[in-house]
Parts: sequence; structure tokens; C-alpha cells
Amino acid sequence: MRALLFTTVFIIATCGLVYELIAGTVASYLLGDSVTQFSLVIGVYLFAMGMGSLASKYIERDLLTWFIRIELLVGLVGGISSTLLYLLFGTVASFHVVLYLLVFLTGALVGLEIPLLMRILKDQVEFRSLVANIFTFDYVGALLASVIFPLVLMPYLGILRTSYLIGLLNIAVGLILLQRFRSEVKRPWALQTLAVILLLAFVLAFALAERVQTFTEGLAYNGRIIHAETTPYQRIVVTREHDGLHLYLNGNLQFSTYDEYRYHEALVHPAFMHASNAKRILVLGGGDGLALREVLKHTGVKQVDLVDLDPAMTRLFSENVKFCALNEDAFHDPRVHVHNADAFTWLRSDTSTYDVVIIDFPDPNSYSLGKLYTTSFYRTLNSRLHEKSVVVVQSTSPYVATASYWCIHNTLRDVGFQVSPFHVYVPSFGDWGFFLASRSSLVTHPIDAKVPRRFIDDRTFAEATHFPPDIAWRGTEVNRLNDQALVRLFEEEWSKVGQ
Amino acid sequence: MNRRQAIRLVTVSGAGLFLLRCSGTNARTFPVKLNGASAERGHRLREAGTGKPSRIEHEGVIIVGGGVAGLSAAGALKEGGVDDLLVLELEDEVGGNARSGANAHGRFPLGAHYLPVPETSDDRLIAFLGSCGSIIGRTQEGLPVYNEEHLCGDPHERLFHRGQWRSGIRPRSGLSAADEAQFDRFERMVEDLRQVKGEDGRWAFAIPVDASSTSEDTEALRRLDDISFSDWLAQLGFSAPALLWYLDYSCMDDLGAPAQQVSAWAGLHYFAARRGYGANAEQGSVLTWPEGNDFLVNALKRPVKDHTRTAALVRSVRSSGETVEVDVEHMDTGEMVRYTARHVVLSVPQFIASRILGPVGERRAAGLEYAPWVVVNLTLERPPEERGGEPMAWDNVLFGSKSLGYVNASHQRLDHPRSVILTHYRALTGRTPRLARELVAGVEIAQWVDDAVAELEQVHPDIRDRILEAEVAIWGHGMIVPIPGFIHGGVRRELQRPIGGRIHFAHSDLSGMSLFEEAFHHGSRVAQEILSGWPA
Ligand SMILES: Cc1cc2nc3c(=O)[nH]c(=O)nc-3n(C[C@H](O)[C@H](O)[C@H](O)COP(=O)(O)OP(=O)(O)OC[C@H]3O[C@@H](n4cnc5c(N)ncnc54)[C@H](O)[C@@H]3O)c2cc1C
Repeated sequence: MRALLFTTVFIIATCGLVYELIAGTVASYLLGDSVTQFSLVIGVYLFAMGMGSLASKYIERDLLTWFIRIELLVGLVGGISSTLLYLLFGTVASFHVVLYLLVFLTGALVGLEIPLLMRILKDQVEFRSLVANIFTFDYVGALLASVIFPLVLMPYLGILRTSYLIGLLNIAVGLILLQRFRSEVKRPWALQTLAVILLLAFVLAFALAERVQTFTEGLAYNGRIIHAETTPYQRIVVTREHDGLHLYLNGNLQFSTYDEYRYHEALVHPAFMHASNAKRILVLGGGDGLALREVLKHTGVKQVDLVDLDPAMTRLFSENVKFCALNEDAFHDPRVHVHNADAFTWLRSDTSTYDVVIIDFPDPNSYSLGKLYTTSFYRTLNSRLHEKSVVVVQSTSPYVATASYWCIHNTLRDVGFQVSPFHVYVPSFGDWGFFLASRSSLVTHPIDAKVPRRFIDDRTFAEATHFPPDIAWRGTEVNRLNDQALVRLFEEEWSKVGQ
Repeated sequence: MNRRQAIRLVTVSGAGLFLLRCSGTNARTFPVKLNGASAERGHRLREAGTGKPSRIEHEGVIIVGGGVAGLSAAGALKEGGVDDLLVLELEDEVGGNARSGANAHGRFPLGAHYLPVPETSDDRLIAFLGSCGSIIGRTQEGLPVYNEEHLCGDPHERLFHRGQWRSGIRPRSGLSAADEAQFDRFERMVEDLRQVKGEDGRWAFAIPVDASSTSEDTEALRRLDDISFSDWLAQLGFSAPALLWYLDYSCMDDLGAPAQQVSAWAGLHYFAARRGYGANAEQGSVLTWPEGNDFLVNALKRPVKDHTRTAALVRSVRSSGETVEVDVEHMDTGEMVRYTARHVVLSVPQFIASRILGPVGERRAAGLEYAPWVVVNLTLERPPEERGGEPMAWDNVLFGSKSLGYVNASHQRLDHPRSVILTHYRALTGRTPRLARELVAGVEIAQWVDDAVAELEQVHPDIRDRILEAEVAIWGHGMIVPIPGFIHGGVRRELQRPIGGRIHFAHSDLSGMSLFEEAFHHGSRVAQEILSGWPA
């Protein structure tokens, strides 16, 4: 009996510490700043253990029954806490509250364990050696946990499987004690049924951990994830909702098949309406091939160069059947040449000139993306243009980020471009803005009627050039490499709408 | 359960740190390389020469030392029509303290890494920056237009203070109203000092130092050179710890020594002498490149490429009638050569000049103090994990730390390298620079890397595991320290005077401040000295 109970101490001590490490790891993974996360998690957990110990004095009878119940509960709560955290991250408003509640709950339950065990054992073991032994096993268990967690559990099992395994251990302890001391436990059948159900559930979860992972992520997005991939540059996630596909890069929606035609038609066709006889086209960004699809509808086009940083993006959209259907196999058109490179450096090493340049970069939400919207970038671009070349730049929402939008305008002007703004409504994005830019003044020609379209026509474009007073032009600083006014404006304006 | 909790806390935090350190894999080792001033070659100067010169060669001007000062002198002489000149440089590469290193992931500075934009009236430097492509033109009003790729990219600097990265290096958070008032008072004072001109029409605090006002009405300011910066601050009642830290940091950054060791004039110079700006560069802007000031060195060395010999240890320089004899040991061939020249420029620090000159130069280095520097370049496989606050900037400083923090050498790159190279700077300041230097000599290279990494782990918990390689540069005599009395005490002027009209001196230590502008100035100055007597 004593040996069994001391083994119990050893196992629960190990489990207790692992729960804490799991919470710390998940918190630093999701929230960053691991020093702060670990420190807070440890603090809250230890405090909760203290509260658990305190609470143990209110349990007066049926100590063994209570202990088994608590084991099952610890296993349940501790085992599913990492899954819960992943699920809730991104769906609840106050994630911190949930995190610390879970940490507190696990800590409090773990805090109940040792005091209860000591009381169970106090009549069977002499007090002096009881205390000594319990603490020894407790600390040795803690040491074991702190060694195997980073060296074995995390690398080989990953965070979810580790949680399930440790949960299983607690439940198994409960179950074994139940078998061994059946006669001393109240309503053993009920407890046993519960324990077996939990045990099976965790075994199942352990086996299906991979799916759980994708599923939890799926909740953060609308719809079901049909493709997910982490590249050196970004996290690519594609979801399906009803019949539509959605592409997310680092959690930001890039397109939705319901209305992407609106965005891509607006991005591409007005540029052609201002260029005459466009043959050589350059697309910067746009690794999904959707802008490419629109470009290739213009039969006069002889050559298209597409520069996208991430080979995984262009591979996905040129090899996957579903996505190829979406971009109408644009990547297999013999006129298309793909270059996986950083646009800035690529432009500098390039020597040709282009009739139309389509710039479809992600929004300037970091200093490294902001570089692609600076005077230096536009000057470099200018060296790849001729007098009549036309450039179009996707330029965030003039409604949400009015100053950011006009900052891009003012930067293009500063480099000497003639600029003309327009904006359209894309339901998934809201009011979305673009700029046309050229060295010479921009003259609008009627749209080529042979090009199949659903959204842009002469009238739609004409109306798109009108800006009501609330989003009309305003003076801003110019965005420069050494002073990225745009990144600061963008951050300020979008943070107001909580994105 | 108190003890249980207490001990557990230790175990858990230990486990936490352990986890952070290994994050699942065993701690990696990485190669460490040594660079910087090569101690071995430097020390050869102390040993007696080996044998007689095997041949004699004649040159018009010999320039000893291919640092910024020597290369500037060579360039200006060449421009002035001197064709028979030769630069002799001890190391395998020219550049001195402004050299750079490189590996598969990019280039990085080994020492000097930035240049503040010069005053709009500094025609020589502006012309030079034009030749480098850093200035691309002038506006109608005459303002230089900078190449924005060479101006320090946004975000410029951040400070880790009170648990967060905050933008700017001047501490701003958690200051009491009284501390804030001291900052304001100090900033107003230096703003005023920046505008002070003497009756001679020169700024009281100028770059180069020798262009500063010498008229009587600015005498009181020059007197500030007689006391230490820290004494002066105390006299004026500046006592806020955050302000004193900030001023110490600034002195170390530019002068290699804390406020206690430098003169008040020198300490104020850091703040009051920078007036440069341009059409697209506001006051306070700096120019910087992935390889640091080696970018400028490259532009300096290009025109005199065919007049440069590296791996050449100059052992002695002696006047002999109408010529000067220069004995050189070519380290690559092992050959000893005697050069004779009409003029010789010693563009080496004075403690070296003193040895080279023998008895004539005996007391040249007396009383000059140099601060040792240790620069550690860490190549990381990808950007390290961040604590909260502002994202990584070009200059990243930890409040209260003993180092100057690090510069992101990849910051100016326009492509998307996955790896980053961080350049960690530390000026060694013991009670005296000499003590500090002895310390430097006694420490293992790996220890310097470890010190730097241990410090950066506070702000980048996973940095140790991200390191691919490290390169350490040790500069035993990295920077001249403007100890009280050195800048305006008269010694400097003495040291700048040529010997016998034929041996000239050009090195940044003659200014009392190690700055690119000062080295550049001395190079141009000696070139004029020589050209004014040069037969047409
Ligand atoms: C760590 C560090 C960081 C710095 N950062 C900056 C900065 O950011 N900005 C800035 O403006 N300044 C900085 N400086 C100051 C820098 O030293 C100066 O800007 C400038 O590069 C000094 O040039 P110099 O020609 O005067 O001297 P040095 O660079 O000392 O040149 C002397 C040259 O003489 C050679 N030499 C020595 N002995 C002999 C011999 N016997 N024979 C032949 N050749 C010999 C040396 O090898 C060297 O090349 C920094 C200095 C250090 C140490």
C-alpha cells in the first residue's frame, strides 16, 4: 500500500509540473514574449496550488474517494487545457482571462493532491518519515518532468499529445487506486465508468492529435481548412466555406472566391484602359495567379513576368487542381515566367522595361513590407518603365485607412509620377483603393470589349474615380526608407477597427 | 506548503529557462572567428628588426597606415597631382577601425559603422559622399539630397527599458516629473550650445574639432575641457539616474569612455556639434550600410588602389637630409625594403608613431589614453524571439547594461535574408583605459562571445540556439579618449606639427575623438600641407 501511494506521489508530481510547462509553452507560443508568459504562468499556478492546499482542509471525510475524484478531474482539465487554449485563441475576446482561469483551475486541483494524500497516509506511516518521503518523491517527480518535457515530450510528441498523455496518467492513477481500494471508495461503479470513458477519450484524442490540430485552427477561420502550410515567409491557409475558397496569409484574408473577381478586375483592367498596346507585363506579388488570369485575358499580351517571394505560393497555385481551376491555369500559359525573389532586389537586377506593372503586395503592416511602398522602391520601379508605361498599386482601404491611402498617393507623386486614384467595393474587404501611376499624364481609353468581365466597365471605372469628402485627398508625409510614415499611419488606422 | 512552493519555483523557473535554452534540442555549438587589429603583427613592432633591407625604392610621398585618415590623405594628394605615392598598410586589408567582415550570410562591420549626415556647408565631405553615391544631388537651395537607401532605415533605434522595447534611446518611461525636468533642461542647454558661434564666425562646437571657435568670447566654453563631464553635470545639479545613464551611454558610444573619464567639452560636443541635415534627411539622420563604414573605405581606396601595399609593417621612419627613410617589412614576402621619400605621412595612432620614429618621437604618446573595444558579430539563422514592445530597429540598446547593445547589420538590406547578423558593441572601461586593456588581453575569445550572448538572452531568450557563427573583433587601442585637458590643452596642436617639414601626422587621435569626419579631416589637412610646398 505504501509503495503504491508513494508511486502515486511521484507520478502526480511529474504530471503537475508538466501541466505548468504546457501552459507556459502554449502561452508563449500564442502570445509571444516567453519570459513574461512563463513568469506569469508559474506565478498564477503556484498561487493556485496554495489555494488548493488551503481548500483541502474543507474536505473532512471520504478522503480516498475525493482523491480519486480529483485525479480524474486533474486529468480532464489538465489534459484538455492546451486544446482549449488553441480553440479559444482568436475566438474569445479576453484570451488572457481564459488562460489564467485554466492555469488557476489546474493549479488548484494539483494543490489539493498532496495534502489529501498526506492525510490518507498519516495513520499508516510515522509522521517524520511520511513528510520526508512525500517531499522527496514530489521533488524528484518535478525534476523528472522538467527534464523529459523539453527533451522527450515536446520534440517527440508535440504539445497536444503530451497533454493527452499526461492527462491519461492522472486518470490511470485514479483508476488503479480505485481497483486497489474498492471497498473503501463510495460508489465505485460510477467513478469507474467515468474513469474508463475519460481514458478512452484521451486515447482517442492521442491517436487523432493531428486532426485536432487542424480542427482547432479551423475554428479561428471561417470554414474548413483544406490546405495549411508554414513556409519560411508566411503561414498559408486555405479554407472552404459552402462553395467558396478563402486564402489567408498569416491570418489575413487575401481573397474569397465569392468576390475576388471584383478585386482582381479592378486591379488589372483599368491599367490596360490607360495603356495602349500593352505587350510586356510585370506582376509583383500576386502568387495566387488571379491577377495573372485577368492579365492573360488581354490577347495583345506577349509576355508576363511574375515576381513573388514565396515559392510555396506559386507552387500551390500552379499545381493544385482546385486552385488551377480558380486562376484558369494561368501559371501554365507559355507567356508567363515566374520568379521567386524579393521584388525590390529583383527589380534592381532586372534590365527590361514593361508596358504595364501590376503591384499586388500585402498591406504595409510591417517595416519590411513598408519598404515596398517607399520613394526608393518607386524610383527603382521607375527605372524599369518607359514614358507610356502604366503602373497600378493596390493601396489598402481609403475608408478605413484614409491617411495611409493618400500617403501612398503622395509618395508616388513625390517620385514624379502622374497619379490617379480609384476605389471599388469588394464585399469581403469593404471599400478598397488603388492608384494608377505613369510618367506621362494618364488618358482613359474605353475598355476592350473583347475581354470577358463581370464587374469593371467604362461606367464603373468612371464612378470609381470619385472620392466623397470624407475620404478625399489629404496631405501626409511621404513614405521613405529612413522614415516609414506609412507603416505608422497604417498601424494607427487599422488598430482602430480592431484588426 | 511554503517550502514546497519555494523550491518548486526554483525547479520550475530552472525548467523554464532550460526549456528556453534548448527548446527541445541540445545546445548547439558554433564556430567563433577572431578578427580586428592583429595583435601578432602589431607586437612585431616591439621586437628588433630582422636584418638589413634587401633593396631601396624611391617614392614622392609615403603614407604609413591605410585607415580612413591615410586613405583620405592619399586620395587628396592624388587629386592634387601627386602620382608617386604609396600607402603602406600593416593588415591584409586597408580600412583600420572601419574594416568589415563577411560570411555566407552577408557583410557586417568589425568597428566603425555609421556617419551622421554632415553640415550642409561641409563641401569636402559632401563631395566625397557624392562620389560614393550617398548624396545624389543638391536642391535649388543647395541642400544635399541623400540616397535614401544609405540613410538609416526606419525604425532607427529602440531601448529595452522597464521590461519593454521602446522607441528611441533616450529613456522616457517611468520618469518622475523632476527627472523629466532635468532631461528638458539638458536638452535645452545643448540646443542653445549648438547655436553658439564665436566672434571668429566659427561654431563653438564644430566637426572637425579643429574648426571650432578659438575667439575670446568662446573661451569660457573651451574651459569646459578642463573638467570631467561628470563633474560638470554634478555642478549643474544633473542627478537623475536615467539622464546620467543616457549621457554615459552617449559618451561611450562616440568617445569610448563614460562621462567620468571624458572632458565636459567633449561630452557636450556629442550633442552640440551635429547640425547636418539634407533635403530628405532631418537633423540627426545617419548614414549606414550593412558593412558599416567599410562602404566609405571602399570609395576612399578605389582611386589609390594601385598605390597601396598591404601586409606591410613599417618599422622605422627617419629623416635623412632632404629625404625621409622608411624601413618596411613585407609580411607576405618576408622581404625588408627601405623606401626613401620626400614626404612621409604617419597616419597611425601616436603610440605607434612614437615607436616608429624612435628617439625623435619618444614622448609623442605620453598622456594619451585609448579605450579598448570588443565587437562581436553574431550570425543568426533567423530573427530571434522578441520580448514585448517595438520591433527590431537598427540600433538596439539595453538600459543599464554594460555594453552599447547591438546594431542589426542586416537592417539596411532591401532583400529578405532569412538570417540576420547582429553586431554587439562593448567599450571596455576599467578605472583607467590601461587597466581595461590588460583585461582585454587576458580574456579568451569565446568568453567575449559568451558575455555578449548572455546579455542578449535577456531580451532574446532563444538567441543562443539561433547562432550559426560568431566573429569577434578586438581593438586594443580602439578609440582615443578625450580626457580633460587633451582637446584644448595645446598638446594636440603640438602633435599635429610636422617634423622637419617632411614627416607629417594624420590620425583621428590628433582630434581627441575617433570619428570618421576627424580622420577624413586630418587626411585632407596633411595633403594640403604637402601640396602647398609641392613643386609644380
Ligand atoms: C569599435 C569601434 C567602433 C567605431 N565606430 C565608429 C562609428 O560608428 N563612426 C565613426 O565615425 N567612427 C567610429 N569609430 C572610430 C574610427 O576609429 C574612426 O572613424 C576612423 O575609422 C579612424 O581612422 P584612422 O585612419 O584615424 O585610424 P585607424 O583606423 O586606426 O587607422 C590606422 C591604420 O594604420 C595601420 N597601421 C598601424 N600600425 C602600422 C604599421 N606599423 N605599419 C603600417 N600600418 C600600420 C592600421 O592597421 C590601420 O589600418 C569606431 C572605432 C571603433 C574601434
